[in-house]
Amino acid sequence: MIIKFVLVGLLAGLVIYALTQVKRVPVVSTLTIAAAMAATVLVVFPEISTQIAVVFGVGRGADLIFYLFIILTFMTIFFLYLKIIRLEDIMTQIVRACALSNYRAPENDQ
Amino acid sequence: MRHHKINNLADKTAWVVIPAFNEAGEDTVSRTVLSVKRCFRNVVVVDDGSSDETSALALAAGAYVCRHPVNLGQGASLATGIAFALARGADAIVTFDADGQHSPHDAFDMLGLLRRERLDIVLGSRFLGSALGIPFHRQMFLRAATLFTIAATGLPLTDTHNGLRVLSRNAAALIRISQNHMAHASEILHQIAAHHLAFREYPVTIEYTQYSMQKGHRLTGAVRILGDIFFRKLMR
Repeated sequence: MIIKFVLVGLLAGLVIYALTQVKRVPVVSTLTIAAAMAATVLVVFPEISTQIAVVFGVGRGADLIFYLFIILTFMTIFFLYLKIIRLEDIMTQIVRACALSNYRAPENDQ
Repeated sequence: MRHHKINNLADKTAWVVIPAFNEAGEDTVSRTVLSVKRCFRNVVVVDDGSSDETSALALAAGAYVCRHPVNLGQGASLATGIAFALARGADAIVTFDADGQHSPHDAFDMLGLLRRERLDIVLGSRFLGSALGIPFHRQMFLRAATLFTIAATGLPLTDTHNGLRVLSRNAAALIRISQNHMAHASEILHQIAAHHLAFREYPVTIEYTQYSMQKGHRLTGAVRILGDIFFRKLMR
């Protein structure tokens, strides 16, 4: 029972923080708020997750949530890694432009 | 010592690109640039964010210097050097290592071959030529890497990881090096195959000195290369 209060408290904190970041990262904030609200419902009424799980042929609600969490986490890591590669490309272009415009010629240039 | 009469045409329009990262030790970059300058007029050293005197030494030895403010990798350095040379009207570009393993005379002969046969690429091969002082495990590793790359690219090569190459202007402009680190070697070969460029291998001598082996590549580098190639394919 105590766990429900702890989790709802943390989720509430997350929703409040996401609300402050809405202007900066609108899409991620909105998704976070939606996910936190869905998570709150499942924490307060855990039977709902079991009812959904049974529809998908999974024994327990917690198991279904666990599976979804793992998949979503891997997807997130994958997309973040690709984003890092894109950032490296941009950085390379900048460093190259810098190197090319600041080239130095040898003294005895013919 | 053989002196090569510098052919007027080759002299003005051929560029040697030397990527370098912390090669000031034992004046290595100076010696490399000076020896290259005996056979070639235009040399550009790309200083890949060295923390030592590489830039100053290269400049004093008579090379143009482009300096990356941060270290990007050998592939990125080659791409920068090639862009620089093309902008200065290069009609042939030699890629040459800074560590003293390559021979400028080989490069000169390869350039001659490129021009005579009107090729797009000439690739140096130590297995057609000689690899002096190569450690056994290194040779085995290179042979394995070569077999893998031959299978991946479909190109009938004997040495797929040799930094000594000569590219025509056409080839240099066509080939896009997007791999910053060591996977650029395979990337170049993939593009040669994809663009059906006219290429030949040429026997060269690679000299494995104490200095150059210290700075050699690690086996973990191979894993990294595979990873780089995999993720790049995903992004296409």
